[in-house]
Amino acid sequence: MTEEFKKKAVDAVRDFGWPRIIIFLFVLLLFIVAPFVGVRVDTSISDVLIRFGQNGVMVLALVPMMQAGAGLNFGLPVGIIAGLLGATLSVQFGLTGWIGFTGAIGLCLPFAIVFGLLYGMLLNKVKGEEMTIAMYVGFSIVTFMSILWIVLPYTNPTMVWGYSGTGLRTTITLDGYWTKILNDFLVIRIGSNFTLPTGAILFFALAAFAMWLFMHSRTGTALTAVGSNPDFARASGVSADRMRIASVVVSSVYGALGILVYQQSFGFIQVYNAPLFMAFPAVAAILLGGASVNKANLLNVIVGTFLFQGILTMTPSVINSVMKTDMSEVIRILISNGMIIYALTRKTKVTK
Amino acid sequence: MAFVSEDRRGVGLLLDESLDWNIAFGAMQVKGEYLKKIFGGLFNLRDEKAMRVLAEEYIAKLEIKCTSHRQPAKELSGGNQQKLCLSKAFALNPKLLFVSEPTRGIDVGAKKLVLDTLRHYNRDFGTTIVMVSSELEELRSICDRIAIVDEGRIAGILRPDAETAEFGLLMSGEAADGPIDGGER
Repeated sequence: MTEEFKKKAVDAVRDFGWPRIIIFLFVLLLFIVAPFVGVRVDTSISDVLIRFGQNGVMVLALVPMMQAGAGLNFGLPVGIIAGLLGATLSVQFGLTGWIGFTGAIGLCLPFAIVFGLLYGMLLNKVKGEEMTIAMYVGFSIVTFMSILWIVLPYTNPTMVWGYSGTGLRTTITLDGYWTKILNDFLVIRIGSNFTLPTGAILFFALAAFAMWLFMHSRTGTALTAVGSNPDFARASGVSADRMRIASVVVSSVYGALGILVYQQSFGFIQVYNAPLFMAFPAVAAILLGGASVNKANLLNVIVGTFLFQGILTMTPSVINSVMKTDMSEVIRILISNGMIIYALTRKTKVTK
Repeated sequence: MAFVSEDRRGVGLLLDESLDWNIAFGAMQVKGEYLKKIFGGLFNLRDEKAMRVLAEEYIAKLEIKCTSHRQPAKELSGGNQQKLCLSKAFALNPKLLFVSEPTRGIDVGAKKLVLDTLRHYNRDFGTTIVMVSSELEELRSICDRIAIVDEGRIAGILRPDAETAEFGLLMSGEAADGPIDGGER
């Protein structure tokens, strides 16, 4: 009996995955230690929730491409650039409040779809090497846009450099436009330290539900089959290339929406090199949630984002208080890159 | 029209997916079945319930040995995988079915079941079945007509009760009534 129980326990642990258990215990430990080193737990939980809402949609963006067998979307900056274009155009046109935010969404969608189509076609030409190519596509588009941010004829004084009057600033404040518009929607405040960003969480839930619908539709089913066995899909009359492009387009659209949610929570639009640093945390989060390179579901997204953002919020405050030195950045990079390596080594577990 | 490939693991199955996916996928994509409408027909979702009913029907009919319709296809034995491939094809309700090496690499019991199922569909539902096999005795046991292919050409068509020697002659390139196309042989 005990033998059997032991075996079951081991199986359960293996199913859940050691990395997640270790990270979960680590986050738990940080929460337990926090009060003793003078870090408020309610503030921390609130921070985790805010960051969850802030980053969740971008993590969600990775799901379709993983399911379609196009690998981890290191080219997330493609979608993010579309989001940035939408956001900057919305500010340029002087749209504020809800009109500003929905305007930004409306303006970013055409870009995201067009970029997604082109990026998808490119990825279809490099099957098997998607992740490497995707990373370089990300680098290229970010660098190319760095030139365009200077050249494009933006004129809104809140966005352009003060002394020359042309070219965007590196960070553009959204004060007076749509700062925290989702976070403050139906917001719940308990005391002075705890804030539940209802709007952002709702937006994530809506996005996740839309993704669930998409993955359960005929196209979504075909897309999963393409990721599982492209030959089977072809034999059933499904074009693998078209499904892959569809997945990339959806991923780019979610990337664009994701960065808008991020910006409204953060309060700034960051242009130039900033999009480069978005893909890795998102990838690490979904892998931490237990996704393999070819299989991901919404639970992976939710668990992963919570754990990853939990670490991000807790390490700076707690570890710094304990060690009196700034370890947070090191730990963050260690975990995100470590997770990516771990996932790539486990790639063979998927039957081909 | 449907086709059962000899390459089960290559093009035949979604190894990582469950049985109901494997069986219903073709019909869903080709004929738009096993979908249900939501939001007043705005959007189609896959109908997991109908897929389960379908999968359970074929699991019972073809005696596929599995734990449930949720089991991934890769965990089944070769014979059961072959039955799964057939279920997938039958789910399309084809008028014309191409089957390639349906009994390769599976045990005797499964072999009989597969052949019986093919015969059943042919006799009772009028499905035309074109079967490719390298086992002559198997073909002679179930087929109505047997065409022998030699060097890419049909050397001749025989009835299954024809003399074994005639099959032998055709296989060696000797057409029954002299070479059909008067080739260089």
